[in-house]
Amino acid sequence: MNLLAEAIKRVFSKPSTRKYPKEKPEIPKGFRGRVEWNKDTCIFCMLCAVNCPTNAITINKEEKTWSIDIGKCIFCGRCHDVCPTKPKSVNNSERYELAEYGKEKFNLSFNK
Amino acid sequence: MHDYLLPFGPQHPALIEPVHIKLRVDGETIVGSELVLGYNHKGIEKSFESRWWAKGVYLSQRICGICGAYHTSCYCQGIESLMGIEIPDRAKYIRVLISELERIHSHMLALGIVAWEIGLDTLFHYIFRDRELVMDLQELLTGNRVHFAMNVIGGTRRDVNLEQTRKIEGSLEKLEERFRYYMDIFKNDASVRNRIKHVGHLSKKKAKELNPVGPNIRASGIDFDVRETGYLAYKDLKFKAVTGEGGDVLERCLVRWRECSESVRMIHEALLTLPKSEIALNVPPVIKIKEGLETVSRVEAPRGELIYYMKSGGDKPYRVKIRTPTYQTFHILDEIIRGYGIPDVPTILASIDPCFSCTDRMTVVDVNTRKEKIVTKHDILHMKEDREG
Repeated sequence: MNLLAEAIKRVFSKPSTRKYPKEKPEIPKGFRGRVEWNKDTCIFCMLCAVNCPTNAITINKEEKTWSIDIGKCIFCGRCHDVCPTKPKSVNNSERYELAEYGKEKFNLSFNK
Repeated sequence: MHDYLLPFGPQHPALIEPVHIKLRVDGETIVGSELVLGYNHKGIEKSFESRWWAKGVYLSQRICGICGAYHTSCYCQGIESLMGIEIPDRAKYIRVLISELERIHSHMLALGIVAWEIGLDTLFHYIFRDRELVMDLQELLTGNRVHFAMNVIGGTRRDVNLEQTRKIEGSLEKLEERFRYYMDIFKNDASVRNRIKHVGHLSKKKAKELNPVGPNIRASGIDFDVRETGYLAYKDLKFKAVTGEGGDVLERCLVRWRECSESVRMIHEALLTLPKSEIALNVPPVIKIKEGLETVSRVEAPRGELIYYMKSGGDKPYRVKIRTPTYQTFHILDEIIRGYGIPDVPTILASIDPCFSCTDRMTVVDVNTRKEKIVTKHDILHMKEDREG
């Protein structure tokens, strides 16, 4: 009977689900979303590429390019931790909608 | 009289991960069973050996999506003991905080699945809705719902601030009330109780013999909890192990609910007495540890005792051996499903809260002779003698 009372109560209360694409969830501060790169502060020290647990980041020092494979990235945020510049050049953004058509679109390359 | 062999799995509606159980049935009654693993092997122990110590933290987290904080905590604890460092007090408290939050969500998941296996979807959805409260807290604290990446060698990565503390307190208050409500439903609601009471019975004597870990052994009345050793901050938080009596499915569920309440109490206390200090020591990204050093570290994961054995090979581990809780628990399944009906199998299986992907191990098979290589206790003792000279 206890469970039935709860079920009846819930018929008249607000749904606990969210109409997702229309209604966005609230993102807490410090959320670890897609990694973003700041070209103005980066000094190409390679620390983020060396410390990445899945080797998702590749850096070309000569051509001054910084690229990341989002398919490999595990969103741990270690690249942000080890970055020596101030402000940090590698940051976790609040972007979480990352689905794409095609694998090659996960390979993001940035130029200085 | 014939008994028949009934395959359960690898693909079965009651299973979330693949496992194969050969049930020997006589009519509706189960007279025996055999467990066949090997659908989930990920080769994680081996791949630890090709990673730096610090990178292994993220790998250990991916052994299990539900108890990731325990794996990292145990792995880091082992490395810290190899390096001979002690983490700051605040980091110990934050590790406990994250672990206990994860324990609540893991237990709620397990209990929700028990409700689902007995066919009560309503209860399953209610439990999972309330579980969202914990998931949101985890996201707030660590930046992700699962795979927290919170523990690093030498401490934790993020601190807890006052605003977060208030939110945690608010959500936990709501949760505590819900725990009492669910405990009442499991105990008194006829549709739940009739399916799970006196089912899947594991007596105290058998429990001692088979020696499972976690809530499964505590529900049989044996007080075995690694947290009682007082690692991290459990000593200061005055942890007391929760035990039950009887060891049926209902008791295993109730022990989990009571453990959730105990976790809530500990989180409250941890937040009240959070010491002021640094949250992490300054550890370089590449750690060098003297080759050949060994350590064993253990923590209490939601499913039971989790053990890491580690041997150093310089800047990488030479060997990491993991004994996950389900590995030590799964064999009780044969004992506890014998004598019950086929419809009880999913319920009993869910009640031991198995995690198949941590359990899978490798078997060495000779291709020519099709013989499996089994290392017996005798072999292990011989190995030890050889080593000692």
